[in-house]
Amino acid sequence: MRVHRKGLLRVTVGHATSVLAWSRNCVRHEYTMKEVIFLKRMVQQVNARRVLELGTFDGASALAMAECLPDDGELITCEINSGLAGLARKRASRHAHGHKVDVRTGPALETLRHLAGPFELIFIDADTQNYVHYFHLAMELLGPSGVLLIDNMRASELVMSGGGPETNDSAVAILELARELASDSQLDVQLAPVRDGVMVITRRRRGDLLEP
Amino acid sequence: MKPIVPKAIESYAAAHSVPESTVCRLIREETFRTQEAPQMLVGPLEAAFLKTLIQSIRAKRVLEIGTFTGYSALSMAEALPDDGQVITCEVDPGTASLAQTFWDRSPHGKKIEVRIGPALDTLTTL
Repeated sequence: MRVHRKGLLRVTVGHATSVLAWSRNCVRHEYTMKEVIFLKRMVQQVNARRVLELGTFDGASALAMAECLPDDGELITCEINSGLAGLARKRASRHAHGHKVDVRTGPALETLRHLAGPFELIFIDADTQNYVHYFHLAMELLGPSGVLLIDNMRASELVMSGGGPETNDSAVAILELARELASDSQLDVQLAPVRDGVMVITRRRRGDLLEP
Repeated sequence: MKPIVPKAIESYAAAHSVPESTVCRLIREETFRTQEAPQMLVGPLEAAFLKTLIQSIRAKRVLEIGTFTGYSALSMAEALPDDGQVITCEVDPGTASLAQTFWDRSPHGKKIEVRIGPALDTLTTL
């Protein structure tokens, strides 16, 4: 299986070596190959030059996305834990595409207020209780044709194991955000069944709002 | 067709994705009522996938091979700008004309052009 996936990644995305190393190392965060492929494909799909990430963790996803950015591309990633931010910087310093990665230490809500848009891709993978706030700030920084990704939609926890949202504050926050998104007529939203569920959000273009 | 994602997960994902339009719902219902292989219809979640894909690349022209009853073509047309276009190829004139009757009921139907015949032939003329 590992050989098969390795082959698949090479064929579909390329630059696979470091990603494979992370997939072995990231025990706690459990990045799967599938999500890394997904993120890299999104960067390519939107032809991104600037990417914003909330929740660096160990820098694995940031470096994976950086591999798909052009040479003058930029990936700003926010991490509240200074130890993790340091680890990510160290990894970036040893990585061929690491010069594109800018790790900002501190609460993401603070960092976001000081950033200027636009970003073509924004990936929210941070503390879920703040997701609604992150969403609103992210939409201000997202370019007109940008894509917003929101990770950890808790598909497995909320559906497969039969757990209800009432047991979990962050699940309540996620479901509230999901409902708000799905009912927003300015957005197209897809909950992609990747890993734990990734929300893919795009803005509708003017002139397509006469639906249904 | 056996889905690769568990049904409960797919339902959860669909419930939190952009809902299908009224005309798409009518196509889906008619397809499951009258067609022998209704599972060929892509359904709401894949339609949401196609829509976000179209938005993210700011597509204006889309080419589809395999119209079936027109659900995916209409879903994609809904995500295109007013001057957007879906060219969709279908070998079965029966399902193509059924699709057309539904597209005519949507403000986005004018963006769709169906080419009836073997897609391999149609593609060489595009």
